Amino acid sequence: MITKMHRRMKLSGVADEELMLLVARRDHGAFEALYDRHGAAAYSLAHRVLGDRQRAEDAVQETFLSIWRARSSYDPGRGSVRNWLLGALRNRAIDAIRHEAARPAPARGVDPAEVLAARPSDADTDATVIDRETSRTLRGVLGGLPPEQSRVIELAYFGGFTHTEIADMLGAPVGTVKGRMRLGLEKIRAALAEVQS
Amino acid sequence: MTSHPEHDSWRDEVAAYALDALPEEERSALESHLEGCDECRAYLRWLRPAEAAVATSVEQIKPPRRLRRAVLANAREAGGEAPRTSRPRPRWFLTRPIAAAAIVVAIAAALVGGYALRRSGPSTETLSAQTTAAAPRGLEAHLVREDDSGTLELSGLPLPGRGRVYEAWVRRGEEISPSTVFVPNRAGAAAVALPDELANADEVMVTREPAGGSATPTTAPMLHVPFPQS
Ligand SMILES: [Zn+2]
Repeated sequence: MITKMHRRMKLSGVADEELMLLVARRDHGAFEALYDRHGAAAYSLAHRVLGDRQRAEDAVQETFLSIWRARSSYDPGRGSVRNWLLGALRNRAIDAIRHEAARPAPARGVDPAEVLAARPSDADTDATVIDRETSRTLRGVLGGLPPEQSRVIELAYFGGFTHTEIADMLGAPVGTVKGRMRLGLEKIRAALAEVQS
Repeated sequence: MTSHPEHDSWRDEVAAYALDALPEEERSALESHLEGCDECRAYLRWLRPAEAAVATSVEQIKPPRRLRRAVLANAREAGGEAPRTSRPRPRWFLTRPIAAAAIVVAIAAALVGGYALRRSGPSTETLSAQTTAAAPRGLEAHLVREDDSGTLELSGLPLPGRGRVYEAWVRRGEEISPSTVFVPNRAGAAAVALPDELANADEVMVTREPAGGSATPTTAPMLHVPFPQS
């Protein structure tokens, strides 16, 4: 127990990038720390995309297992470990719904036992609190965009629709939809530079 | 970020690519272009944090503890040495069928009463939705409420059609306030955040509206989530 706590304290000072090196060497403690740092953000994103808690859990499990098996390896070129991990998760979740869209979704009732088992844990870790602040700030940034820009971004990123599908849905020209995506992303990017400075 | 004008036409493509919104052929075309173009690669790298900001902007919800156990157990099964202290907690509730059955019956009774669960900790409860004749076949929904916020989870929802969206509303007595405008994902599911606006609400409703949403409902609600009055 003491060893474990000692190890945790040691890992708490380790940067994400170094954690990934340890994970690649099959260090279970590092993997556990990786989940504790990013598991909640991953679950929240999966839930937003999939709209279902059970399926969100499945997507998070699959993503982390694939990281453990080194099927998905961290690429510093894609940005921070967090961004890379969320990108991998988002793609997995979208793949799942693109697959499923081919056949009608089975109607799922609310299974009380499942709702009970899926209730959130009580402990609010420091990491979750920080994430909530960050996510609120970023929601503010997205919410500050003109609605026609935030809508196309959300449809693409969370809904898994292509720009042609979005154009069809909104009754807007394809070029307009792509232009809105670009303007919206550029505004978010500029706002990030301000937030971070 | 500055750019030569000849690359301007590629920028829209790069932005759509960053959001994974390009159809297959366009994506391959852009990827070939990216291979030979430093400038577009730099633009993509510059945009990446914006894409990540979208990912992190979602309402943060706490994962269940069992997810952490499952993730760590998967890794142990897949190989490497198991850390001794992260042995899963005894699952007594699954090995005692009578107790488990009693819990399920209690919840089922609560469901019949109009709401599912009130758990002991912070006030989180799951409320079930009632669909109306205006609802598409197969629509299922429930609302997970945490204090004055909530998430409406829907499945079996078809795309709203060209120029249409779905809109959630919060009713307090006679007053109906617009909340979130949304569309489901391609599989007909949606998780709709209803931030900080459920205080003193009587119910949440969903209607189909023109793109952009409406200030007051223009169609009949397809579902109601009534709140138990305390
Ligand atoms: Zn270029």
